[in-house]
Amino acid sequence: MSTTQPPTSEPPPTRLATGAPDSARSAQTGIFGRIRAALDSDLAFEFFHSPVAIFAALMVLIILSAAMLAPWIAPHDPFNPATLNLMDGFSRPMVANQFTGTTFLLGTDDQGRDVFSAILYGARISLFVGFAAVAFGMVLGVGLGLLAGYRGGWVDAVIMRIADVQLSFPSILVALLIYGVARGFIPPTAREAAAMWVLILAIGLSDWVQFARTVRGVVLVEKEKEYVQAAKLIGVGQLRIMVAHILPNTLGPVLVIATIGLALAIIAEATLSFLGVGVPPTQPSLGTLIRIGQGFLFSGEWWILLFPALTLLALALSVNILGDWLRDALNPRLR
Amino acid sequence: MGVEDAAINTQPLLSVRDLRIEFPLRRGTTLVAVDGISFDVKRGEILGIVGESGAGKSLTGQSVIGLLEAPGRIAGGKILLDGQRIDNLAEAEMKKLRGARIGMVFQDPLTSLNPLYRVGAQIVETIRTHLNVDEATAQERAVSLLREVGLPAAEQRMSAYPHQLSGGMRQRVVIALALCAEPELVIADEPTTALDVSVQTQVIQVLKQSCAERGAAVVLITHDMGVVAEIADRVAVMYAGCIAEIGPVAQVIRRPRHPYTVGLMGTIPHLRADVASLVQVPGVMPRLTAIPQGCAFHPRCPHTFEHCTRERPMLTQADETATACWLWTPEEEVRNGKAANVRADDE
Amino acid sequence: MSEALVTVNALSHEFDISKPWLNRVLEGEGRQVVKAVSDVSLSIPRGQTFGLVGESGCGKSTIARLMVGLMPPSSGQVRFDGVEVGGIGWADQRRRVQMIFQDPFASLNPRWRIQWILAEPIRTFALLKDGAAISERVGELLRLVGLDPLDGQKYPHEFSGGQRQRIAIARALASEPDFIVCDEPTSALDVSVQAQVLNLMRELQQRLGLTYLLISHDLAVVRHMSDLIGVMYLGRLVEVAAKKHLFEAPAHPYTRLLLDAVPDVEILDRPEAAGRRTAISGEIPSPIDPPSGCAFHPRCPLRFAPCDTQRPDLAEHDGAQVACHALNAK
Repeated sequence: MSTTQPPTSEPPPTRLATGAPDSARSAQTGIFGRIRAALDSDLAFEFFHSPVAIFAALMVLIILSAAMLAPWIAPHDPFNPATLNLMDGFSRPMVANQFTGTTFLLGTDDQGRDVFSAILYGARISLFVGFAAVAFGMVLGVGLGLLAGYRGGWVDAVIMRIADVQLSFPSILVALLIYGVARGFIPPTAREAAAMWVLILAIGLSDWVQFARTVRGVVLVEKEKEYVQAAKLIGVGQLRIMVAHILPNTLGPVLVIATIGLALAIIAEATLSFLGVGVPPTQPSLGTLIRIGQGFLFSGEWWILLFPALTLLALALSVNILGDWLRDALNPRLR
Repeated sequence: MGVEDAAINTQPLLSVRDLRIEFPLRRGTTLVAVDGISFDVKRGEILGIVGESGAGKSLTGQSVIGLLEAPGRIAGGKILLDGQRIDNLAEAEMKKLRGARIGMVFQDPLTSLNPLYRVGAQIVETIRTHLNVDEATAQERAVSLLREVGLPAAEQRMSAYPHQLSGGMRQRVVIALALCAEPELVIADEPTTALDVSVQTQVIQVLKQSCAERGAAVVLITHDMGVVAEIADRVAVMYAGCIAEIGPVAQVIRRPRHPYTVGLMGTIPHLRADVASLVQVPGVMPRLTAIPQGCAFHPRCPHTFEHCTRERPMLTQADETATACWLWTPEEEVRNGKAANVRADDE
Repeated sequence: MSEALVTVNALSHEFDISKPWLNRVLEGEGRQVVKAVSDVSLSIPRGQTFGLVGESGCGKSTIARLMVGLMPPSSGQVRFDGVEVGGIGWADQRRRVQMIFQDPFASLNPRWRIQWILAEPIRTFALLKDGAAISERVGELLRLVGLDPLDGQKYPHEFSGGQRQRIAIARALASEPDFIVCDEPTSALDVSVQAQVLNLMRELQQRLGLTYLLISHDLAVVRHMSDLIGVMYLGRLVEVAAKKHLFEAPAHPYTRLLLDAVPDVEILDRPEAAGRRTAISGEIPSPIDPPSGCAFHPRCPLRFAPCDTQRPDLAEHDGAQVACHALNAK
């Protein structure tokens, strides 16, 4: 019904701008101009005034940098059998070992591996798998969502039914399934090397649905908007419209889902490793460490389980909090 | 008794004094959306509040009914209904007022009516909430109300759902709903904007007639001067959170005084005459975060002079129309001979 | 009278609003169609403005999209300068037809800078190749619509509604068109901003020799801008006349109803008219189930025998074209 629309001349004052808000500032191009403009935006303002967001971001940053710098800051190399001394085994945290006299910050496990170093390397694996899996799921999901939303018709129907079917299974089961199938295709000799990539594939494939559905929803709205019609009018091709016009408008929700998805991917990886079907034992992630530690929990060596578990908790929780904050901050209605 | 009666009868039904509405923004600043406006509405009269978007007219209406959405808040001034302050009432008290003493007609009839309930049921519910009548009487009243607002086949329409009615019919139902508890005042916020052109006049006339029957006063908020010209008795023109001019409709429309009103009337294309080019008021209404000092209109005003940039003019009464403009203020006239010349030219 | 730049011939378009196949089978319903546009023919002379006016459901927005080739019509054709829109040779002519949309907030991509938005038509039609030349042209276009070339760096959300419409006009001009379809270009704007935009459009028309199809529900705007006016009702064209003629001597009963019904500031100058408004009966019926014969017959004061069975055609009547049995019978 095309009747008179209420005249509007200004966007409402509570709208949150993530781009450059003011004329003088946005006129600055170049990298410094853009960074300055970004720091000046409403989103940055919200961030710096939210203690929860700052805390979560710091936590993530600390764990991330520690993990990346692991080869340099880890006091021991926990995976080189040559450096391990069985007599170091079961050392308590911060207590000198009764046999060798070495003190380990967070203790050692049954093999004499330093728990602190193991956590650093483990976090590295966990984060790597997490990021890679989310990236894979995001590319796949966003691509399929764009296609489904823009093309509509049977393309949309097929993609969405596949998504629905997949959603009716728990994602861990889906990951297990994909993992098992993939392993069946890979010759035994290559299995260990490929294990990490199979894991990334499995988690990513179980994750794409979220992205696809959200992007499809945004695309359905955006493609009716007049700027898309204007592009069609001058004959811009479908692919270009999807990628150059509509895709940038989906990035807000995608960013939120990616952040929360990262937390979920890290936990998924930990779960799979805990179950023994994740990363190989030569590259233990936090989940593997938890599995190892679980065996010793009730015989008194609590530190082998507790510290990796706490690290995993801190990591997943911080990423989750950041994702939640981002979603609320980008939502123009919630003030 | 006679003198007291007369006093009560001349007391305005609605009195707004120095109303100020603010929005605390992010970054700690405050946005002043309505900056100290004052107006009265007499019993049974229709006051139109006209302005462009951002002028603050909807916010004014919302604050009278107490439906101002957070984070906006009333930061100053008073709103009096029949001499009694209503801007500082608790929500529970406000609820008793709404419907019973103040009725509301909003722009979009689709969202004003509950889509899950039949139309008749909604009216009956409102009647029974505010008036002490039994079910049968309420039903009768509802039907006669629907007939009054011009809904064809009123009896059958009682059991219709909102989506089964057309836009114009829905809005009539909304008017019936607003009036069913016999309020003294009706706030109508853009009641015809979402309707087709040919239906707009019908609906606005219905509003006028049904309110006149009950002696209810109306505050008609709209951006459309034509609608105001159709039914209003007096009109207030708002600009950037202030009232620029307020007076009888015929005077304000035919002989506008404030330069903004003059410009506004000139920008409206004529239905019955050809104009070479529409009057163009240069610039746009300032953003509420960047209102100029002095008179808010001065950067766009063709008759601005030095004093306009320094001090904000207050509403000054001159016969039945009050204007907030230094050109129309007697003391300034004495100080600046220029003002006297301009006024002669305008006429 | 210049020759016709755009001609429309027996244009019709239907929308299929049936429920999905499964639902139809389960509920035993047939297909449902809405005849949005029904057998419309008109011609727009070069350099002039044709105003198309009507209320909701009259099909004017559909016509806008059909005219620029955004949708293929169900039947009939639109010819631009002799070339059929969407037919052979249309790809070469596409550049010369442009459109301005109603909603200033949705017609510009919020994630693109203004200069990219304005450069897109230039690049797509390969009017200029060099980046610097394109930037300069973008600056020129912004100046043409009364904005600053530096505004090219900004994003749409930094502009007001009126300014965005100017940018939309600049974008339409970027491909150097001859014909612009304006779909309710000022409906979403305040009246004072509307005046600025309308004045700009007129100025550009004179300067660049443009031809406009102006679509609006606002009769006063149409009066101000158009040379020829067509009145639509439920997908059909009921009257076509020159501006002066239409407003001074409206023929079709619907046109008279419309002119009478508009809330008008000038009603104050005609107090006698206020009391004697033509009794306005009824509302626009749903386009899904239009009345038989002449679509207006349920509300028409001149209705007689043939009106509810036969659909009237546009015929010459007193200097205008009117589709009415009662008027054409005389």
